[in-house]
Amino acid sequence: MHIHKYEKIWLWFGAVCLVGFLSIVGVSAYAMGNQPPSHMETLDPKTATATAPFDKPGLFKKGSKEYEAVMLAQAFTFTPQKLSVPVGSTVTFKVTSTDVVHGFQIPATNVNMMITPGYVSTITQTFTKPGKYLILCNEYCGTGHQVMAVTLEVTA
Amino acid sequence: MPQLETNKPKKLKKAEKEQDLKGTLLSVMLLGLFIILSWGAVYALYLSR
Amino acid sequence: MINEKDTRLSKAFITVSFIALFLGATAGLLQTLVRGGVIELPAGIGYYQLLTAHGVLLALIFTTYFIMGFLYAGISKTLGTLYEVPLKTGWLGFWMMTFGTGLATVFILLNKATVLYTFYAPLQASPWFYIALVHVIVGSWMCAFSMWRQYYIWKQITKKKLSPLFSFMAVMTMAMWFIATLGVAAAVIFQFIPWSFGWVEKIDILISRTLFWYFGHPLVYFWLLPAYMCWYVVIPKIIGGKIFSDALARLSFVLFLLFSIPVGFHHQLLEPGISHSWKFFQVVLTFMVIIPSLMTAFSMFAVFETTGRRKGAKGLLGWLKVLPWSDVRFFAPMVGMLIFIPAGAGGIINASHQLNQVVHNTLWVTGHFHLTVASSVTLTFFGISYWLIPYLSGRTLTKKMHKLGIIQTVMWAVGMFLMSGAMHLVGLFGAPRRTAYTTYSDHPQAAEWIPYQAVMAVGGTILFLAILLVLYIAYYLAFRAPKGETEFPIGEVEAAAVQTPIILENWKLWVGISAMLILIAYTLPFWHMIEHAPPGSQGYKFW
Repeated sequence: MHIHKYEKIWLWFGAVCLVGFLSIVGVSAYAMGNQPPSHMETLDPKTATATAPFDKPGLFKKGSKEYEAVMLAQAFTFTPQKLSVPVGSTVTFKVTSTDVVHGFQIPATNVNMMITPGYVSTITQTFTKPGKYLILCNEYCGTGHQVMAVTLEVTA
Repeated sequence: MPQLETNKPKKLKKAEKEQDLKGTLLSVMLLGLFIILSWGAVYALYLSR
Repeated sequence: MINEKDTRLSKAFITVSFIALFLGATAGLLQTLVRGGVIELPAGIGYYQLLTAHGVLLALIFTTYFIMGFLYAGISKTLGTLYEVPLKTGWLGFWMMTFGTGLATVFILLNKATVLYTFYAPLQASPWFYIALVHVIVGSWMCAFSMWRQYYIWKQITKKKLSPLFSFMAVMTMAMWFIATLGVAAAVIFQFIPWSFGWVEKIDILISRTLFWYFGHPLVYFWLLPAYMCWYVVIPKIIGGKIFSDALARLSFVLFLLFSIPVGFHHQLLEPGISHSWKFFQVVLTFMVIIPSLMTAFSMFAVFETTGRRKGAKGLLGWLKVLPWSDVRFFAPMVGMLIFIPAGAGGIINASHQLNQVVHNTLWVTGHFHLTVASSVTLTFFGISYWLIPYLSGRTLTKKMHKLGIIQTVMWAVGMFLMSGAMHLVGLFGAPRRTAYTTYSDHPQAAEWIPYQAVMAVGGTILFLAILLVLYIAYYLAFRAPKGETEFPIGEVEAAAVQTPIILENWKLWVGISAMLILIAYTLPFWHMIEHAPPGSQGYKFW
């Protein structure tokens, strides 16, 4: 099939761009570990609040400036409702839902993931700037969806 | 001139056609540039966060 | 002239589509005013109820009905008057879909189905909402069968290997639609209906989401392909040019069939239970589906340039000036095409694996599909309406309507620039989509978003006024315009263009490859979901 010379140039240009985009995100994902959250761990959503570690949600210190936040997403709040870490801390969030699908997002960071009942979602973030961060639900979960948020304080 | 046309009508027509689409090439390349810039901007935002 | 009986079928579909457009747009206006902090809804109407109505009526009903009306008119034009079986099956499809649409609308208004148009489990609507959806889907299959039948009879009679370009594209669009809707139909019939009636207690959420998004991405191409049909086949005729290449047009539709379906994971990039390698694999396939759009961009510019040069345009970009800007049949789709440039760029960003973390479930995404479906596709559909409605009603498009149509298009572009632009920006700051007005207990970050939400309300209001205008134009063209004959513009192929290879119309081959790609992209991760499934969920009604 004959294709116009310029169209060939354009399609090659487009293909090289797309391969370039894919290479950048591919290298970033596979060589530098920047994968989108894809945790495979499961649990029974009905008994989640009685299953470790979600029977004791909270913020746990795991090392110097390293924390694990075990959290529950439930219509229409997160537990615990207040978290505080010193600046420069790395926090691994471990979240599950006991009811419907929720979202877990911290605006102005790359923390963004879905919380599906029956699954554990995890994501890690280092907080380099002090401030009061919003943790909000970004998936519609019912009439109170717009109030579903808690704060994470990063202290100087 | 008529002689030239009878001699290589096909080639001439093709060459004419190949020249026709310079504006198209420019337009799509601008489009491509726009895609690269916007992708790059959001990727930069991702890296900065 | 189109056969009177065929006219009625097309008119029926287009009438329902415009009713849905009005209702959905009204919900949209109220939403944007609420989110902008301008009004509060009276007790008894919920924001999310309106949001459900908006999504169902516009994304599912307006689009699907308009597409059916357009495709039937074009098939009748290019393949000849509908035979008895295709016509009857078409009406069966119309009534099934319309029964479903009515039922769904009633249950949304009764506040029994406030689950948004994506109806993610375990939010549980009334079972009648899901039964309504099944009617819409199965009704649309009847239309697909009817169009395929017409095509088949045409081939039997004419013994031609290649069908007219329009009908080829229509058959391809419905093939993609049928394969895609198998997923959502399976979820609704085998998961949602038994679960919502209480016949089974629990539902597997990840599987329902995966089946939904197996359908959800080709859904956006189902909206887009009829717009591409207008761009490829209709626009060249309107501007007085020729189709750039029949073969490339068909090739791009083949590529859409192959690559628009096995890519649903790029809507599920941030969720647990799917390994990142399968996500990345589908991201790569998603990028393949960009290629036919790049081809389309080139073809369109090439049509404009060759036509302009033939009219005597000089210089590198002189051909732009001689395009018929005052012809609304060209102007509206053209603005739609231009808007597809930022829309497409946004789409590439959304699909870029971990880059999705920046934009997922933020207002950026809402801004994105208000550019794609609600501008590129919708403006093209309006552009089609300006000649299709008088074509069907035996009337003419007057100069005054041309002018009003152009004003409508400009209003749409301005309103959407404000609304979608604000959505894109505030989305990058992190404002979530699908969320009622909120300050998150006066959090300073959320306070920064409010001005953008106000701009959204201004844009939304302009868009609503533009909808009223297009409804008036449609009404005038259907019932008031002077009687006369209007043309269904079908472009001819450039004489110098190469012959179309017959292999492009080999359905067994393309449907076979499509099925193979779907099996490759989905079998293993899907099997993993079933094998490692956590206990399911009961239903919740949190509204």
